[in-house]
Amino acid sequence: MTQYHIGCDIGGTFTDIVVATSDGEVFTDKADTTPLNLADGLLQALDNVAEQIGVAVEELLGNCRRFVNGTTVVTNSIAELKGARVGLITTKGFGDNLLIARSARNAHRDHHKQLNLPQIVDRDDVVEVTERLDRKGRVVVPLTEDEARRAVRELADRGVEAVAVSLLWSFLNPVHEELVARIAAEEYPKLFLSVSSRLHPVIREYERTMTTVLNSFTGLRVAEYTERIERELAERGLRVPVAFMQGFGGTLSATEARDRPITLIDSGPAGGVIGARELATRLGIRDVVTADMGGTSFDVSVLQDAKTMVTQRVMLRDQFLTALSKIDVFPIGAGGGSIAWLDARGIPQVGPHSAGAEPGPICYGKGGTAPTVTDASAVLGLLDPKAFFGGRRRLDIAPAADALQREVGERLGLDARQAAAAVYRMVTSNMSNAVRAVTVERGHDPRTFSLFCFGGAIGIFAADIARSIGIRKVVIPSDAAVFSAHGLLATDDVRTQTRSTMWSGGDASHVAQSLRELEEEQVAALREAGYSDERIDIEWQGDFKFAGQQWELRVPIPRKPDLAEADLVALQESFPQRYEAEYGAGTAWVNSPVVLMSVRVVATGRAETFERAPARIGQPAEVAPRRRRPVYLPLAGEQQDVDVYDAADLVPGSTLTGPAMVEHPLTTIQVPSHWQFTVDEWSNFILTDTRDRAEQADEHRTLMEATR
Amino acid sequence: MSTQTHHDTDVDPVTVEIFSKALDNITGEMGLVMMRASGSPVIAEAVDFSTFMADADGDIISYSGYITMYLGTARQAVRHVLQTVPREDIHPGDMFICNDPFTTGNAHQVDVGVVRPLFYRDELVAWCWAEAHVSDFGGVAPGGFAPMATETYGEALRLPGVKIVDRGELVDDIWRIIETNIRVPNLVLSDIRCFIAACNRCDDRLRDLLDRYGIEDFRRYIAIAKDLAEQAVRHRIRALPNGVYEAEDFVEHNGHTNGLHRVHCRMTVDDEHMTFDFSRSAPQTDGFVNVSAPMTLGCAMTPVLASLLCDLPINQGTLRPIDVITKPGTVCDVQMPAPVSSGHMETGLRVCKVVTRLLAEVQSASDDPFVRDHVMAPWQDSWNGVIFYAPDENGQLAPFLDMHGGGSGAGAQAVADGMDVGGALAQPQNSVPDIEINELGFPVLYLWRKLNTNSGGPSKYRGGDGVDLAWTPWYTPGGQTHVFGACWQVPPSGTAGGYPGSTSGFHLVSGAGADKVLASGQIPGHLDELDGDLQALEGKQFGLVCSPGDVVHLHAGGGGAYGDPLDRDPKLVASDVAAGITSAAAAHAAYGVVIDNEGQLDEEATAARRQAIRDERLTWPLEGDVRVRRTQAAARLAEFDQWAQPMEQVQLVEQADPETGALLRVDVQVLQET
Repeated sequence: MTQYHIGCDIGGTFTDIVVATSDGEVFTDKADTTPLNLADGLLQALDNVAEQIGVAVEELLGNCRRFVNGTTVVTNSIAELKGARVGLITTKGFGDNLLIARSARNAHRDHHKQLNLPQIVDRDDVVEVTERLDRKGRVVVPLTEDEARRAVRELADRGVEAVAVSLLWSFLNPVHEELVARIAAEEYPKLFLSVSSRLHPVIREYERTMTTVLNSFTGLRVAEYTERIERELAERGLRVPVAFMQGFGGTLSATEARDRPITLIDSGPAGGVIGARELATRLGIRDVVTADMGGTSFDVSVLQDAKTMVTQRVMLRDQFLTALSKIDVFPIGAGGGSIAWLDARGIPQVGPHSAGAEPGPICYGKGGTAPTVTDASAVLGLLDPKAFFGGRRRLDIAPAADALQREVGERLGLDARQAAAAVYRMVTSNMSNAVRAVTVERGHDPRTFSLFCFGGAIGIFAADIARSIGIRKVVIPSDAAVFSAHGLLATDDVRTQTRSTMWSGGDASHVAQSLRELEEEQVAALREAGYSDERIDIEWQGDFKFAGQQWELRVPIPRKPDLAEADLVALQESFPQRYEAEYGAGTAWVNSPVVLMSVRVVATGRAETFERAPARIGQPAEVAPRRRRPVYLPLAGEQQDVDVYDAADLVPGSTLTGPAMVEHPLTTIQVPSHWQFTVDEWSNFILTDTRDRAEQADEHRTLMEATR
Repeated sequence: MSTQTHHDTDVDPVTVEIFSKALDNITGEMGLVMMRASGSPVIAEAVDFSTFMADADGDIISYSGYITMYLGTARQAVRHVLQTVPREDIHPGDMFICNDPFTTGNAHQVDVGVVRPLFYRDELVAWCWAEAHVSDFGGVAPGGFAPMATETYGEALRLPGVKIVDRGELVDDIWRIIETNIRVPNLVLSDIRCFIAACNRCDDRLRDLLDRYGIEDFRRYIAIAKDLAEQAVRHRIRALPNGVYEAEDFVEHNGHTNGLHRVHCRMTVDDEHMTFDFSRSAPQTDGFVNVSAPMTLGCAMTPVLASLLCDLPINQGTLRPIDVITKPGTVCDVQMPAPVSSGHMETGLRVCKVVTRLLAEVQSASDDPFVRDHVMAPWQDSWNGVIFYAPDENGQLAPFLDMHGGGSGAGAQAVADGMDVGGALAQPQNSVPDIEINELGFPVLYLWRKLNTNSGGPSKYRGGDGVDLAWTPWYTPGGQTHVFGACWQVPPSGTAGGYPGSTSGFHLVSGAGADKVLASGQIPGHLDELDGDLQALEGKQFGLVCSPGDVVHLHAGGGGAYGDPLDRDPKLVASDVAAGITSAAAAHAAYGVVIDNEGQLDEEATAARRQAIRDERLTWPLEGDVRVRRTQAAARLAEFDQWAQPMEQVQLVEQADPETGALLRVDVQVLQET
């Protein structure tokens, strides 16, 4: 009997689904996302893919061994500031913590960008309690039961739907937070409750509080969503628990997701990066820049030595500093819908404003009036108005051309195509700079990296982005359009928890004990999720810093049951070398104690995956273009007749050289001259620069010279 | 259209822009090198540094923009090297170290910069600069702030652009002089190494760029980029009404005596050119508050770049249509040997504030909605320092400088309230610490930290509030406290009929017994709940004894406000009252908003109260064609539940429309200098 693994990524516009079978086949499909009830879109996508495979949904789900879901429910809740009414219980004297926000200043020069943060907790709904601990975790002022009860009742009477408890120094001694939690659970068992010392027992009250508050803010929506998904799928025959993707990279069970919903933040982009890692490993590529271009943004991330990068202390919405960690994804406002405009100097700029899905680009004919990147691509002839989206959407070129000429061209003395070329070059430059930011500026040489591109809009730009930064190989996965869903199937189950230690020497038994306890908790959670011990990997980590620094460096701690002071001293002693390896020679602080701020256990349950069967590549087949079409090549600044290939004519092993366009129902790929395009044994599209470095340097000058 | 007046119409602006962004990437990357390579929290976390590139003549071609206040210094450092070092002595691989306010224009001596000439194929084509605040540079006071100094000689070691690297080799003699003269040589020398690393990175990257573009295009593109910026600035200035506008503000207390030192600016808008003339400012003083002329330039440009030109890049072209004039021997253009070690926080921030005030006035009168919307009211612009020198429980001295200094309020915008706890205008990325981080590192326990109610000026768009906090010594036998603030007696004006913010002040409560109150199970929430001797401190006061149980209190002031408070939506006022941002008394007195006993907005009573306020304004004496009320500022602000240290000659001048009673403007005026 064929068994299935199902990955389903619910994005803003589409719900993507990928089914891998125990026979090594892969099926993909999609449905429109249904914002009012996300489960509906998921079920529709499931129907679509079942029909494609030729099985009943009940059979597909009944034989499903793993079901992984990525969702924007948390991301959207925070982006739209729509969530539960939260009441916050905090230490007397510090109720303004969220208003003070550690000063909300950012790096923008424009003072209009310096605004007070939106408040997700009404100041009325913050209740202070008389209690105080100090930096040793010592109780200075005890919290009485009456006081705790008063606070909980006050919030319940006001009608809050969820409560967050965050008291000073609770991470060292949770006694007061636990007292509040116990009373809340006893008296108001239906209130959603988040407790800072359970969620993130680490120093820095602002981000600990913010994380706890956001957890409560998103909690009800996630509870409703996960329960609904589980129920609907179970009704249709699913017999395994649904795993939910975390922004950190691994998955969680529904129960755990309901307990710490905030960890589901940005799980979509994480799915894409995890998918790229799986693909890179399969292709034997170690160093990768991933690039995802959607309607409003261009997101880049780096895999070095096939490892994902993690950002700590994540800032959400550019506003809320949290204690969360997630896969490092660097976004800029450059997507197909990004709007082109002239700045005060008369120079064309692109984004960050976007026409979004509604009204969208002008050429979609849905009422858009501002010229976008997609309009520029259409006017240049890079998109075929008749073949777009597999012919399902006709593009209306004339109004797009008019708008580009009017909004961008007129003041610069450019015709519509020249204006479109200017927009194309500017957005390509912005995207190259984003790739540069995550490579060159973090000490990586992009020339040794490959660019993995996904998202429907990127095929046109991929090779030009690569060559402007010296990358010679571009991989566009066969499932580029549903790539995040694909990544879900490659995701392991991950549990992680951190605990504050603040050790800088002397007896280390509390450190060892913390690690053992954390390990026990995380392993128990994985066993609960069905992982046997041989499929559980455990890592111990420590966050070290020089005393006086604000940021820590994550260092592996040897995992041994009898971890002792000497082991930690050895890590302290080697810390300056590690620090300099990260930040450069001569940067380590001299004569400064090294502090172990906190320890972390990461437990990974290795998920089962089905092997995919590669295609056999025979004799390179002759590929003929379907037609030729005039394209105004934006970097060369001239019009050429270019060969147009249909992806349906290509098979593994097919090869062609640019300049050419390759049209696929979900994406259009531009192959520049001197670049080779091949289809590999997994049906991925591979673009390779065929010239040596000197030729590239020459070309760069020519490109920059491009004028009207 | 701006392209028509280019030197060179063959090059399209997209190419120039892509090239300019490549230059900005390089100065940005220098900043990243600084943040990564430096161990210093001042660089990595407070982001108190700047990097830039100039062309061969010293004209700015890219400024990383971390701190715009250092714009003038960056340019002056390169110019000084160009003027003082013979051309034949400038070689590839040379670097010059600069920290002298009197020659290389630095803000103060602990701001240290390195300047490097950049050569391409043996030709000098550009310069770069990397600068940051270091922990110490010698002199009489640790950390470089020397309130006791009466002349600059004792303030710190000064290096006026001397070679620290000669053709790639470290100049050991200079290195040893630095090492010998400073308190924490390891830390500071590693910072200087990181400036060198940043300049080296710039050299590498610029050479790569020139390999790709060639020197001719480099020159053409930077010339066009400057022209494009210049033309856009000229166009923007044209949107302002021509005229001559004047304003003044006052530096308070020079560290020795509580005098007022005038910072005066005459701003001229003449078609597409602007002048900021500070010549009529007070003579320099023998306290540490003076600044150099290049700092005055950077401080004057900071509000211009944040409001009028907030969307334009920074290069020499941006500066061309704007002149900043100073008179040598004034607080704005210090000459030897007057001290300067706190000048940027005192005279510097006053320069920011007075220009903010002038811009608000002239931008409000523009026909261009972008320019009008970008009006901002003056900020509190006071970095309120509290230092506690005390041993911890192990007897180790743990000097505590509370970074809540960045806790004062921002000025209101023409479209939004000012930011609470925004810090000084000149501090992008300002942040205040977590309570737990401060208590972990230093022997203090905070009793409260909250918003300073009513400290932001009341208005249609209120000024940002400052922070209000109190701490007591903890796990220490006690020690010495110093406090210093820049805005204690002269409140920051509002604009367009908005009121001023409160000023900033400090208290010390000796014998408060806070430790005993805590031990009894209570947490004091206000000064009234403490015993002992409540002492209101001066704006700057040094060497106070602070023992266990004593309490140090900071109430940081807020920003100036925008627009008549009677135009603020009463619902917003009610929600500010609920949030503790505004008191019910202030809502009644300043906003004319009545909150009932249940905390609900009483709309009827509010309408009546607002009419009563308008009627009262119509009884003010007529001066010319407006109704005017002149009061002593602190007393008038107290009616609104605001606070300023009373000073007789500081006046509030309110002007109302004689027909409608609408508030037209509210000015803080100082009747005479002392």
